[in-house]
Amino acid sequence: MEKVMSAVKAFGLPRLIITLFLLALFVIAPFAGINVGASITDVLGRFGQNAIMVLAMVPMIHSGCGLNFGLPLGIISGLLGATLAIETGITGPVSFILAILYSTPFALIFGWGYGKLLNRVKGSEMMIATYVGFSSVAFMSIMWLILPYSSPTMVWGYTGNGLRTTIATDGFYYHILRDSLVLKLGSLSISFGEILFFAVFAFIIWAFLHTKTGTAMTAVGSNAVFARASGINIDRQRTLSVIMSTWLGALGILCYQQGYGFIQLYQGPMYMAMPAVSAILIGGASVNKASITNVIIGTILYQGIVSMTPSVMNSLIHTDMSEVLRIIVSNGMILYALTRKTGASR
Amino acid sequence: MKEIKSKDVKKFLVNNIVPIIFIVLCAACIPVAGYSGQYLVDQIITRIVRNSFLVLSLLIPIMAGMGLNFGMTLGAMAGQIGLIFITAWNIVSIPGLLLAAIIATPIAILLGWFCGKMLNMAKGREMITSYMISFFMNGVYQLVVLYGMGSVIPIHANQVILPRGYGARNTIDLLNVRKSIDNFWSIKLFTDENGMGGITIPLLTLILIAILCVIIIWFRKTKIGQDMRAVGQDMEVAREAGIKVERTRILAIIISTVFAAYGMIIYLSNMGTLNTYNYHSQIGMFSIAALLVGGASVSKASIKNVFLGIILFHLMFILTPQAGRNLIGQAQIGEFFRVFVSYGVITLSLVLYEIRTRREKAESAQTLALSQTQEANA
Amino acid sequence: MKSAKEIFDLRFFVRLACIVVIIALAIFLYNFGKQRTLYVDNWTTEINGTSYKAEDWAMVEVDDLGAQEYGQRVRRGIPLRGKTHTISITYDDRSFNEIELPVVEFSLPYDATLISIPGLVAGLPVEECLSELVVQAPPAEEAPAAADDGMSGDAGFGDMSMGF
Repeated sequence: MEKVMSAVKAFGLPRLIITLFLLALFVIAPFAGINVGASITDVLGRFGQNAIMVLAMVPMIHSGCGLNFGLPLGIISGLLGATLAIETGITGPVSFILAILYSTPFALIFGWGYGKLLNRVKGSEMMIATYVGFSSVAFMSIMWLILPYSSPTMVWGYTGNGLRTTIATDGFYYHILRDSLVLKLGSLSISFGEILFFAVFAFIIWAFLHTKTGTAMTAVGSNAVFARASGINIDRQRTLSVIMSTWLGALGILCYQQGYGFIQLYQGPMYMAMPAVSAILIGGASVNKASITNVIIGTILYQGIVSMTPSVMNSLIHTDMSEVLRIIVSNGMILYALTRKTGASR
Repeated sequence: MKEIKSKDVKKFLVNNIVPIIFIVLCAACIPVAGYSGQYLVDQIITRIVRNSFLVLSLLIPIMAGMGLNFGMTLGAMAGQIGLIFITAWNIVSIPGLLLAAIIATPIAILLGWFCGKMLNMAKGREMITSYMISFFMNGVYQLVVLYGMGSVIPIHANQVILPRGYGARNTIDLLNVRKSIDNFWSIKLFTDENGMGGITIPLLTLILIAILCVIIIWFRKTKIGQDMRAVGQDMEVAREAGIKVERTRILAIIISTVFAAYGMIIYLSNMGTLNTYNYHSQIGMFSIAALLVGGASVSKASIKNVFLGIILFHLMFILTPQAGRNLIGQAQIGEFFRVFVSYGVITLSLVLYEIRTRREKAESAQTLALSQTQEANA
Repeated sequence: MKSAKEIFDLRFFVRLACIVVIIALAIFLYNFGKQRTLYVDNWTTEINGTSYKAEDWAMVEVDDLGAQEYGQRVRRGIPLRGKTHTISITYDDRSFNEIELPVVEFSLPYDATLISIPGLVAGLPVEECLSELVVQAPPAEEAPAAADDGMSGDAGFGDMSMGF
């Protein structure tokens, strides 16, 4: 009994509840007339779409900058890259590579500035990060209206200037990863393209965290005083981690767009940080500790609930309360992480 | 001597950068927008009446050192629930608003207590936590209002509940209570011969706001107010002095939440419509931005900041769409711009506050080190 | 553990009294502030199996809100606060004599109440002249509310900047 209790404690009660809930959903699903294969396909698709944005949380948590509520900044770099790639008019897989290439310099510059800013406000990064994200989204809303884009797939048809609210990635990089290396088993289809794409970056981050710089970064996050004493330049490590997070955010949104099929501009990125933050927390991360495993488990659990609850609920009680439940679960998870005593050191 | 003076000026500028930016911005926008002075004054008075109660509700948690209370959204939710009930029951004018306040109070106390408990578990990052609480509670609020009303909570009035039989409507008309406080006793100045235009001054609402200001000033001097300030200064010192720190902090949040609920009732009765699923989440951001525009910071805010902030922030709100239209020919840019400014102001104030506190800390550490070395030398 | 005496001290009773006063106030406000609509109705009606013909002309005053003329087949809604009200009716009989009925006091039993002038003129007790008006539900004017938390990203800026 004692053993069970300590195991539960190590796993975390909310996480256990969420896991059991998801399992229950999968058990109920066949009785509610839902195709389990298709559901798993859906969950895996969502995983591939969102995992890199969740991965973007890892470097900043490691360097002690807390949860990256400023993810919208990275997303905006991704959006700039995406729109520039479409502006060139090059279609097909090349456009995806172009989008990554174009978004990289923006991500580096924004990340650098954002990192410098966060270095000056140590201790309340999260609040300021949230508002940096919001302000940048609001600022870019003005920019999307006045930047001189001209590609007819993107600008409003009747006025000829200002970008549309949503732009289809059809013909450019729609499902570029989703439709590659697909394994089909009946109604279940697994897209290894997306998973591989994520795996590559997850491995890079994992490997990086085990290099000398990576361990230094972790040292800054876990014990800043010790890190300073051993001659690590704290501010540089933190800035580096913020740049990495921002760049991963940019990549993440591009990956999301190829699966989702649309580029969402204006207020679209406003609250995109919240699902990512709550996913990594569900995966077992805390405000100052996170690993790649947390990312994978968290994304599967979070996306599993998001995609399974509506369909199961709809077929059982004919009321779609899933959106409200999602809000409560995901924000409740963030709240839980913020109020835990262990994380209260910072 | 002169050097000191220029240093003082610089310090003044740095400490009041946000209001100064806003004064310059508004001054630049007034001629571009081309509104008459009378119109602007009337609008500003309307907005002071609408918003000051809400913004005033933020003062007490700041006093208790808990930063900007993003959890005031919870109070706004309580106020909205009160209004939904009285609209469903058809209770009109001032009795209706009073009843709404009575219904909202226990809900606000309960929510405030929850928020305070949570914030006690997250000392040192109250702001982000209160922010997340407002998001979390928004979910609970939707669960109650969108699914609970009509099915669990017995409300069946057509003007409130959706045709499907449960859940509150997106927009609820508050015609029954619209402007009932404002019109109870108001005077009009400078009207033209048809009695149109001019400046309307709703005296009763202004008196209510004045009473709240007096209460806040008086509250600072009471025992519990003193305790709060002590807790705000230094929690550990306060604890050693025998103050129940946790209880004091919860109390501060409860008071703020209850005032926010009343503020929301006043705000919505002035607006005349309730946007059931949107208003409460916006109101927090706008109230906080207004307070910061008035020159308040995370740890220091006064009644002066509240009114200066409302005047400047809302002047900008009135001016920018028109200025955008006249300048670029697009009102939308003006609207985006004011959203950007609201967020930007909060960001800027938070960043400046952090930088200032760090500098002060470093300075005090330096003086401490200096005095220690002097002692050692002597 | 506190003893009963400690719990039920003066403070407790003061608080209890406060709560009772507030609840009493709430009930008072509910009754005082509740708005009900009285529909004054001059149509031919059937009450308890007898048909009463609409009056050709009548002057009706509810409370002291000013007298209004009612021709045949006229129905007007009057929003009223509180429960107890009075109605005074002046009407023409067949030979065009103006006859004033004594002022009738009544209380509103429904949120939307219909009061029949022909019935009152015929001298029926007021309770029998009151009936509930079933208002047809207004047509569905809006789609069910979307659960919009702003997290889904479609709570537009339009909402944020509306008439604040």
